[in-house]
Amino acid sequence: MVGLACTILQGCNKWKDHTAITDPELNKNLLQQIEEVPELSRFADLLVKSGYGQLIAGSKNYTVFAPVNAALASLDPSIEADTARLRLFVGNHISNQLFKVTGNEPLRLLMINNKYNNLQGHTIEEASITVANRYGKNGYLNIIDKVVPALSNAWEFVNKDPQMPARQKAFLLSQKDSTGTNTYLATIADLRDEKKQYTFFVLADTAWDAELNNFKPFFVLESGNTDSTLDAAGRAVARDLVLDTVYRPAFIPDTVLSRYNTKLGIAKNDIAQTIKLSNGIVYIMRRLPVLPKHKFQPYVIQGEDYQFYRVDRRNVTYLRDKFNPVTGRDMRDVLVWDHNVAQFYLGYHLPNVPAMKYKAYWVALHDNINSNTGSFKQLLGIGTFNSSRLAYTTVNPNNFNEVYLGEFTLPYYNAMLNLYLTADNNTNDDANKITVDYIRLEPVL
Amino acid sequence: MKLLILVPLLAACTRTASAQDTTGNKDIIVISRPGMPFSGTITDAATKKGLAGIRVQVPNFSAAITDSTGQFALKVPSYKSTIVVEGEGYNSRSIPLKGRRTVMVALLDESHTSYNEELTLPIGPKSRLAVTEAVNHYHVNAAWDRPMEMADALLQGKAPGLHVIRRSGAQGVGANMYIRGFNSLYATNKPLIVIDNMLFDANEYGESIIANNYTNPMALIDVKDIDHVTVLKDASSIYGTKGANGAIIITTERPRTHATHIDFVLNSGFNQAPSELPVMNAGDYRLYLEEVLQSKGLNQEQIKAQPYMNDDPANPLYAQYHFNTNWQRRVLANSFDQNCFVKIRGGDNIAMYGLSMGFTKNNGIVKQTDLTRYNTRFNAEFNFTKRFAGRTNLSFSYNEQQLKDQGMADRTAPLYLSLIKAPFLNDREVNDKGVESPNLAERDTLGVTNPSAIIEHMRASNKYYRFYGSFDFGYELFRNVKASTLVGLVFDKMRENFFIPRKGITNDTLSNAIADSRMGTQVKRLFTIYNDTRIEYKKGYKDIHQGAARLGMRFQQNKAGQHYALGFNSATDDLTSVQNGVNALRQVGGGIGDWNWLNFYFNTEYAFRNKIFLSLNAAMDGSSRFGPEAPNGIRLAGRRFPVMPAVGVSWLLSSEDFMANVPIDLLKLRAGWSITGNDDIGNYNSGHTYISQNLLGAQGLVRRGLANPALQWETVSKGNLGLDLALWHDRVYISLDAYQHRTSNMLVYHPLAPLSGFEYALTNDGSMENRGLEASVHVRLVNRQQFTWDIGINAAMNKNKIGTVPDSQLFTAYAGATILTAAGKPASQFYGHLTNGVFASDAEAAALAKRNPDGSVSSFKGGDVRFLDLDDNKVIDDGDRSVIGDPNPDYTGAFSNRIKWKRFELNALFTFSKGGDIYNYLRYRLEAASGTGNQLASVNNRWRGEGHITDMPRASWGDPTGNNRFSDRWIEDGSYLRLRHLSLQYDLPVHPNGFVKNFTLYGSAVNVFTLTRYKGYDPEFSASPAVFTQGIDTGLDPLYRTVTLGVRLGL
Repeated sequence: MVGLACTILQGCNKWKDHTAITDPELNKNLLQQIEEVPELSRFADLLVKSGYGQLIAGSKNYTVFAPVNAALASLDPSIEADTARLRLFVGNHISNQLFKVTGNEPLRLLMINNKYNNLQGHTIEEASITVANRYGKNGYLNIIDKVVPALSNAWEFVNKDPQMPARQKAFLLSQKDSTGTNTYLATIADLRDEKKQYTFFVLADTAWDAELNNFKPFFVLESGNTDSTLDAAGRAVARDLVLDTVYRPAFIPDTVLSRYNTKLGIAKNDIAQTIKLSNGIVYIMRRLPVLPKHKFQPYVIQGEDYQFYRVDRRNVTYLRDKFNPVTGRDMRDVLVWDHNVAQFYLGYHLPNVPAMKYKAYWVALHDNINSNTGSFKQLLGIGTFNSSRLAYTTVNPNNFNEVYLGEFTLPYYNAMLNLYLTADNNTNDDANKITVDYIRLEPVL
Repeated sequence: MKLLILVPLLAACTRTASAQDTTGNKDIIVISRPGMPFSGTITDAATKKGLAGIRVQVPNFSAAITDSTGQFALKVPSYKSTIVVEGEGYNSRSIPLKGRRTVMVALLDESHTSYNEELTLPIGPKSRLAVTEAVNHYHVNAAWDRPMEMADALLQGKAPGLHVIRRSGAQGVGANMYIRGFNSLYATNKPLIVIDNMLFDANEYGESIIANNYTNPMALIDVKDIDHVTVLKDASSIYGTKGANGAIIITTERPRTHATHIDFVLNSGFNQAPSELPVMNAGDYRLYLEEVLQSKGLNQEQIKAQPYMNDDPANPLYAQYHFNTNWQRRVLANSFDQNCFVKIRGGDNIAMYGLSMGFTKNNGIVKQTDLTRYNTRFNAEFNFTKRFAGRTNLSFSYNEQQLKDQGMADRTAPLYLSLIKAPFLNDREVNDKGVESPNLAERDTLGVTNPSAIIEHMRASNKYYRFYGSFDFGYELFRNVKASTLVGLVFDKMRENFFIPRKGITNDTLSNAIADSRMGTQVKRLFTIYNDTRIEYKKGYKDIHQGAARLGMRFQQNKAGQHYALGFNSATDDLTSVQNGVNALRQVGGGIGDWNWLNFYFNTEYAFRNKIFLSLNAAMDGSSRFGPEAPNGIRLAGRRFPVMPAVGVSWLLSSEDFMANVPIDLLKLRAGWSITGNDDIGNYNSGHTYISQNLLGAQGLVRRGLANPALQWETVSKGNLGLDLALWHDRVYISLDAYQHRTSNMLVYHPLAPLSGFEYALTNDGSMENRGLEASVHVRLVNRQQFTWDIGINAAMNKNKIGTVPDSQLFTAYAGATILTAAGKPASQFYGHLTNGVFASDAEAAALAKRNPDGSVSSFKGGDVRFLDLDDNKVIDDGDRSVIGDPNPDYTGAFSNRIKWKRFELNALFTFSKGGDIYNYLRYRLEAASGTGNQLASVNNRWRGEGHITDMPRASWGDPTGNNRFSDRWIEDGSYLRLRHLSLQYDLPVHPNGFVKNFTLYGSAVNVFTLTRYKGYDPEFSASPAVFTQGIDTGLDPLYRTVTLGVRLGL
């Protein structure tokens, strides 16, 4: 009995013993942990000053990359003086979650200032992690030997950086629609997106002007409005100057392909300056000439993607899935048959068509439609449905090949060019069919 | 002597022994016959003064009453006789003369436990001096100081070898009882309960529809109606195939005197909610939650977007997610009990009656749970003629309970929900300014039910009543021959209803629908007709030979029925009854059980000079449950009837002449051997049965398993050796017992060949064994007139060993545990992995791999549990398991104190259990660190990073590395020492002849304190009576402390 009572009496503090924190580190929040390391005293001061000290002492998990005092010695005093900038700077060393530095896969880490830093191996951006994964109550502390500055993103660079050349900056800022939304950001590349990493080419003013002059002839307007010509040419130039991947200066190849498949020849000598961004890198180029034949790609218009018609004949419009033995691939085309309209057409909108000469081709499959083996005629109308720029072309049965239709010249830039696939001018069902797989317009340069 | 050896004549008896079974105010006729002169002095052991008015007699020969100095003179038949000394308020004594011509006897007061007390055995009352069986006696005496106890829990610590485990802290659920361990794996291990000579059916037919609720028939009995309880541990053969687990024989109070006596009792109790488990606070929990979500694969933005991660006070959701709620306090609460009771006794020499009525309202410590009981009892005894007597025991009780789900019901058990519910939430709706609405909050963004919604809006009730009554008539046919018959009737009905609303509560998933609101109703009925008829023959020859024989028959006809309906998705939360559920989802079911039992029994007893006692019992049973081709038993009319004999002998060594001068008051040796049976093999398992089956929309019947026409009762043979010793003028009483029980023909599920189409068949192929020791010591430590102090200790040790089971071992699973039952080992061993802390780093963990379910292996990582690789193959798999715990305690027992000082009386009962292991399922859930629920504060020690040395593994969603597999992490020592009961009473002085006869004030406390290392609410719980669920703490509502103040007024 006595023995039993004795052994059991030890159990009085059972819960205290069981729930007591066994590792004293777990009693310390990140701020306390940082404050305990003498060589992080500067950073601890900055944490308190920026208000983030309270945050990382709270009940959320963080991963902190704390730079040592030596790294902070050269900190620009103006940053410390400006609370907003200080928060941006300090926040760039704190991530919102538990991240264990494993030395394995690269990681793009979101920091609490909403910027991302690249973590690879035992480095974060430029800084080396000297002490990794020190656990505490609410996260990991890593000690780094350099600061991780909070950089501007590409759009902030365009807007605020004095190194941004004026001409391209003016152009980019001018791209606004009626609601004030920047169309460049909306349609080409959102340079504000911190999650992405861009390679952003910026042309020095002379280079910008040279490129503009180079491409101006393709954007001559019928109205003669030169401002609009310059604007259109600017868009054509600017759209190829941003890449979705980041190329470090040491690794940039001599030719890169833009997201519009334009080849950009990069001569390293032409790089005037390289500036690191929070979401990529900026190359300020002395010159970056692009050949028109690289810039202007052929247009391929899928027949089934028609956007308008002469009259509604959707009841006799067929979208057909076929196998093309010539290419060895499946295709989908459009056929309108039994529509009873002379010169019936399907129409297509083609935006931003530069002024130059084009060769036209199509693939039109007449596979004995309605057991009719005779050929029929149809027209590719440029601008109007019965345009005479091209002639009616005969569609022969069972021809899966691309057929050359002739060439035509556009004297002016068309912000919106209409194309028509027009039927023969009669109401005979066998003769006024139209069909097409695709239409190809190839610039002649 | 030869002539008097008792032949089993059709001798008979009556148990209408009531007229003799008291030592009360009976008219004594002083008779004198020729004999030897004898004299002596009777004194009070406390005052040492002579006692007047004490009866001294040689039964059926002579009697005398002591004078004012305590002296008496008497004629005795011989100096080898035994005289019996009795006196009001004193303990009766039997004194063997052993050749002496005079004696000095010091009498102790009647509250002292001694060998002279009268027991109630299956065949009627008997002095403990004469018994050959292993029995214990508990003189409940209405348990005035323990008014809130259930009749089964009351017996805890009162008899060594009777292991009473309270089921939970829910109101009225009482306790599971086992006498001397388990005798069966699949049949019942409950002792037979006999109340006033009739079998009391305490089985549950069909499960409750309220999660883990237990309807306890024993809750229908008011302890204030109980006079005494006899625990019969062996020689229960007389109950045939119902006696395998021993018997608990309860005798209710009956009138003792002709004078009218009215007891009026009022009690009021305070229940203290148990102390809370230390779960994480809101801040620590959020850190943990974030970590788990990250391990689930949520990225920074997704986690940041969670409403509870927002710390901006301007955010409209800020207030709603920034509480620090103690959810356990929203579910557990202190509560009050009330109880009142009236008992009226009285009568004359023709009829005596006892009438009682009680009302009890016990509130639970889980809010909105209670038990209300209305109970009535009428006991009476009639002497119709000199030879024709009758007795009746009629009781009717009605219980009504408000309940909640408990235990393993993750969506609806309020206590479990209160542990896992996010502490940063509130149970009420909160607006963006932090103002609380009276409306309950919906289930939270983590999918956890609002515990307050269960507490306030879940409706679960249970109403049950039982009529339990019997008439017993006895007629003295001739001198020495009596016949008697008892006819009894039980009608029991129980109705359960529940409704779980949709508001605030997590949906349940049915096989073909999502259930939002849930509702159900269930009705159970039990109807039993019971008859016990016997004749008795009693004969004595001088005071040398005493004999008796009885022959009887018991018959029981039972009809049990149960039906239930479950409904789902009523249109609104105001439509709560089952018919409001969607028709297509309604589930109905039920069961019937009809069985009959016929039992012939025979008993004979013989005593030689009150020194040597012999007994022989036998029973022969017929039951509708036994298979017609059972291999054992006697064949009669195409059925098998098992024969269950028992023999016992005891020798009162201390009555022998050579012990005359030894200072020992009693030395008695007992030996017994018996065979009993267990008929709990299922009503219909020996026959072919069918169940309905739905196949692609077609309804049909299919065979339900293979019938085993050879299925029979389990056989339990019991051997017992006992010793009783009394010393120091009866002030020390020691009783020791050693036993061995062997179960053969034990019911097992035998695996079948796959071509049979069934997995298992029930057979009688198993066996097991129990050996044990029991000891009890009672000492009157101090015996003064104004101050007495009694202590008692009892302890029991039982070792269970499986003999044979199919394939020599079987594994069962319950609550995530694997339980091994293997030949040569005790039943129900925890079988799992051994651990040694947590890997501190990935490098440390790399050496060991884990086996995935698809057979592939993957390596452990830093922060995973270091399981021991027992087979040294560098892979942790099932081969590395071993026995990690044994739920069977090494020994259990109790320690009692009774101190009487002047008008005060203090009682203290300690209970203890040593060596039983507990699988802490609740901790398994609360330290799993694999889900979004809140965890114990110990999870703050979870592994955080490389080099962290701890024993708590990392947080990982879904536990992919199996850190929570069944291991010794969850096994704890369940030893405890508890101050089970403490009471102080004070008898106010009253005028001896006044209107008020007695006036007593009571203060008592239950579960005063518990010393244990067990980390759960309480080390005592019982999820089910099954062998395979022992020691598994599923988190039922815990036991709690109750303090009661009461007053008893006697008129």
